[in-house]
Amino acid sequence: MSMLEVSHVSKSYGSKSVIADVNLMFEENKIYGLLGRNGAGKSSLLNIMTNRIFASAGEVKIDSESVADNDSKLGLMYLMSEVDLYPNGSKLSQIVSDSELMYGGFDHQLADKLIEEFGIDMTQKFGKLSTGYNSIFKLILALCLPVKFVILDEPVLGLDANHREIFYSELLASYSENPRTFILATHLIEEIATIISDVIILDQGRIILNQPVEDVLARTHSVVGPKNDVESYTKGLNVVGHDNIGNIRANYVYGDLDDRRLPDTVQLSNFDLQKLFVFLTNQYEGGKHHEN
Amino acid sequence: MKTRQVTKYLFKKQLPQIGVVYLTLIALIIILPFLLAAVSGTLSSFSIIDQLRGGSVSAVFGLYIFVVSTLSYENFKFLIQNGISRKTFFEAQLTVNGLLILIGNTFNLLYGYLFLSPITNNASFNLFTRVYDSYFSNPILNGVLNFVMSGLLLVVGALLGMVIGNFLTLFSKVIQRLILIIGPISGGIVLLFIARAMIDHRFQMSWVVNFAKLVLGYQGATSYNPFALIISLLIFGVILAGITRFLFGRKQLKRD
Repeated sequence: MSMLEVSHVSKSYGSKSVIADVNLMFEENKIYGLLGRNGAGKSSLLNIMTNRIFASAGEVKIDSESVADNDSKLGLMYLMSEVDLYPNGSKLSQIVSDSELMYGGFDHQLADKLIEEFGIDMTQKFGKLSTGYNSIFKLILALCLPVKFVILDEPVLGLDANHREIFYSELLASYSENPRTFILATHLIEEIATIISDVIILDQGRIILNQPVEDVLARTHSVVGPKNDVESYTKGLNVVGHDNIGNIRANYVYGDLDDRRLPDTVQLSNFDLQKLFVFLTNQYEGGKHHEN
Repeated sequence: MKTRQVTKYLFKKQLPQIGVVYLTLIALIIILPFLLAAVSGTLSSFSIIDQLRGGSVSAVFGLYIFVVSTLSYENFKFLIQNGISRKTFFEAQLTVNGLLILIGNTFNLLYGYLFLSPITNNASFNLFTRVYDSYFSNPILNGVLNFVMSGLLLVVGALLGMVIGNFLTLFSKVIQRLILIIGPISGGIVLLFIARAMIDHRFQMSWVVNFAKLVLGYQGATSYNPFALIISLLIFGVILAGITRFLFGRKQLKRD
């Protein structure tokens, strides 16, 4: 069983710290959502994981072996990123065959299906692609190359709603056909909330949440009712946000509720990942963590 | 290690460029002067032999291999995207440059010995034939030594290009431009200083001249030992290869 391990990784540019002592473990055959606001450090972290840039400290390992300058480990990952690393003058079909040469395989059957579904012309030059088709082409490569860790940084950048639908459904189909680890880095949380099994939230270079989605959602509680009753019920709990609608107050709690009695005037339900993300990334400045 | 795959990729990409270089050379040495002579009405004095005598195939190939060796960032981007380590890239690039030099050097010497020398009635067509050809009287041995020396000169040129190119990729585009402007100016000033000192005869007996004589194998006004330069090039090549490996290891994606 392959494990991708990020161990005490930090990265600074001059005096500015963009990643601060990050520790993560990506297990095989799971779909992770790496969430963070713009500038949270997602892309830097992924670039470090794939040895594109160097960490200021720490190490990335696959199966206890460092990925640094290690073909056999680097070849287990594919990072689809916003930055274009393919030659602009090369035809898409040429890039596919060159990538196949490097990775030692390519699922042509799946690629043909995706090419038809997305309607992409493989005789085009890479540099001539629109933003949407640029993303589509890189997604096709990501899904068809024989890697254990498929890392997608802002995968639906520039894709219209129809193409996004196709992508999410093909990702799930590909995953069920050939289970492997996916890491989806995005700030479009609603779209991936139903796909991912685990959620990691990165804020200002720090991990503030790293848990299975099911566990996270089970710990979200929206407490709605008259202001005084809600305040009294949630006293001492981890209130991460609130809303006011007239006299009605909604307090959003993240964490386990104790066995305190729920007043009849107060309603309790769960809230979604997007809301939790907004509350946590507004609230935390590296002080409170919810890691396993 | 995926050195074989990367070598194949880089070689396939760079081999056609050699053809383009030689075709460009033919255009610049023969076709362009011919057209200029035709336009200016001096076609009667135009001589292909004179044109061939004036154009150095070895120097142009040397310039090509130097320039192409400075350009590595585009390949680095593609290879790191495809999970290839810096070490493998370095080894493959070194192999590909070696293969290109083998092809170019073979062509250059065949062109020199079999075509240029006979039609121009001049046996001197490169550094070895001009300076070191008289050290041995055996033409086969001279041919072998010429191949080795010319090849090593190209290897050192390529490695020098790799050092400069890879050194520059460590910096942002702004800093690169500054280095490219300030570097040649500083180099020019240093050269001017040395030239002036040599003219003033202050430099004549200095260690620089002695060192140059040692490297070039100077043994008298008309005698040069080719092995001195060959050994010097080998040592210089090993040092440059070490520096290049270090610089390859420092490569990373730039933020600009």
